[in-house]
Amino acid sequence: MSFTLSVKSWLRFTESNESLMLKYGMTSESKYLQILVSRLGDDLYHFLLSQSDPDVAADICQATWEKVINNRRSYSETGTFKSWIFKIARFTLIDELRRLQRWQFVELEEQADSADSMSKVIANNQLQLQFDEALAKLPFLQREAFILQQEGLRLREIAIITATEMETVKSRLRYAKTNLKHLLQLHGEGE
Amino acid sequence: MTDKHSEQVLQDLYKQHKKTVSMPSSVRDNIVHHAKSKKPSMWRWFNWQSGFAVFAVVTLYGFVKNNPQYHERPSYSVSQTINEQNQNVFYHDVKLITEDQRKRAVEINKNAHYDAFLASLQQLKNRKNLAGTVIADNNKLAIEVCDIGVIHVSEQIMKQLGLRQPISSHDLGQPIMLVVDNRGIITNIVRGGSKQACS
Repeated sequence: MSFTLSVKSWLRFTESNESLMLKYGMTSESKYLQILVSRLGDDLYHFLLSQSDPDVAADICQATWEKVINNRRSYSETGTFKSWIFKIARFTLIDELRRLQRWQFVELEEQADSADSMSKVIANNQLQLQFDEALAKLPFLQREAFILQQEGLRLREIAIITATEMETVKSRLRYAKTNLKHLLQLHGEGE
Repeated sequence: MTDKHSEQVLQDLYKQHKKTVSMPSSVRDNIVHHAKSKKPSMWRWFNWQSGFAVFAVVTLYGFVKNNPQYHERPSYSVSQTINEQNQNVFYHDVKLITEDQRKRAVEINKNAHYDAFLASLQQLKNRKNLAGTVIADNNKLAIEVCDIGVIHVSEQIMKQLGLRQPISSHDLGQPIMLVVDNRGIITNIVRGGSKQACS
């Protein structure tokens, strides 16, 4: 009995997100979705929370998963499930921010100003607190590029999620990291 | 501090930042609830075991439906007429679908003729053992039972009773005993007995 359970849990553990999503689409068995939620729920919520506030993040998180549930049969394994759900979440979030009139399309030009405004963060003693505040103060597009990369998504996937060119993603990442390192006084070679 | 090191620090700080955040349980519950509500009720209980069970039941039902031997019982009937001697004549017959049905309890095809035969039985003291004599009636061998009349027993009933010798193998005037159950069904035919002389 315990052997069977351990084999089952091992198989479940090794099953890819994409395979689980395809199975969920075919069977509508909520157990597959629950595994996906347990694997990616916190990542997605953290991304949304970093880009908004707790209320909006909770709403968008739920709305995103509901879109996954409602469109479960249309999922095809063309990319990773993680990039698919983050893309849904991002567009849902931006729609909501537009509705709330909180969406401002800020591109790279603002990076210098934001770096200046973030300089106050350095006053914090603890590095983690400095990081949290610095991350929160990054421009929306830089922060999302940074978070998506930290979540293990590749440049190509980030470009698809954010509906932009790969070169633009690279620029946003470079500015985001430069800002963070500057504020945290992390100086690398070549800086 | 090298560039690689600063990247590593950022990663560590990010991971630490994430640790403090988890999806609210209410959101998680709502998602799971939504997923369950979206599952079509037909699929809710559908898995390979239930699918196999449904398939087996449907197959069995189709098999039984197309094989009357599994749901039909032998039909026992009595028809009545009057012969040239103004005697009541009862024809006992049983309709078998297959040979296997012999083992099954018969189903009586109740009608006025059958009731007439039962009414005749009611007049007898011994309603279960009908003593009679083999006679010829309408060019066929039959059994004459006093106070009832003439009884024709079909070959099917002989088979049903497992009697190898047909009525035609009996001799005219031979005493014979019909064993009848409470429902008026002939359950055995026994040679011998006292010779009956009907008045």
